[in-house]
Amino acid sequence: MQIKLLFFAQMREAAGAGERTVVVESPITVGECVRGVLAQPEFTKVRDLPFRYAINDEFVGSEQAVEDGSVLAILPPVAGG
Amino acid sequence: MRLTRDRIDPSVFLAVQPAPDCGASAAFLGWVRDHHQGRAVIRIQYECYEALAEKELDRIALEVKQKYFCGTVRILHRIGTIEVGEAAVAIWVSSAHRDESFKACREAIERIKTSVPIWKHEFYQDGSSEWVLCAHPHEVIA
Repeated sequence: MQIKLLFFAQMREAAGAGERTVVVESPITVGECVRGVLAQPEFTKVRDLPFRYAINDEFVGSEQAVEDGSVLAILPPVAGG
Repeated sequence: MRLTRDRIDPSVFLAVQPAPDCGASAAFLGWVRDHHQGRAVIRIQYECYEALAEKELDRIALEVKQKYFCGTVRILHRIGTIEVGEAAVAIWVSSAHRDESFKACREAIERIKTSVPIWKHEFYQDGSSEWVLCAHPHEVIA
């Protein structure tokens, strides 16, 4: 199945773009999907950050199942305010 | 609307009259300062996951309002490039009594700092720049 990844801040810089479309095996959880993404060499410097995740603009946990066509955001530590 | 790319004008944001049943209001303004951990800051840039940030700011405003029985909770967070001396975030709350307003204002800004998907990129006088990392209860995949 195909999903879209969203990258921000350090992740966007590492990815070289704010989004990326990837094909993954189904079924798959957020955690499994993220592990696969972070294993790519361009993410070496950022892969140990404490991430949060969102699917289709809602926070989710790492055990959440990823559906075909989902938009998965991998969120590094925030610093608003 | 909780996010803006325009300059926040405190005199406009704070020009609010509380409802008649509110005897207190409190405000918090966060400003871009010219130093961070001993380094001279010249400006910051806030990157934002806007769709989720709007939802999270809505959630914070609603939950704080309910928890402290506030009349109103207003939050406005600036994103994009912000110069030193400009406001980055503004919060205004009203409630029947002062204790609730103070507490609501404090809780709102603390929650914004830890959960709203906004990232701060600081630019320094020496030409360098850095993403500011905050300590958050984020999940780590083992």
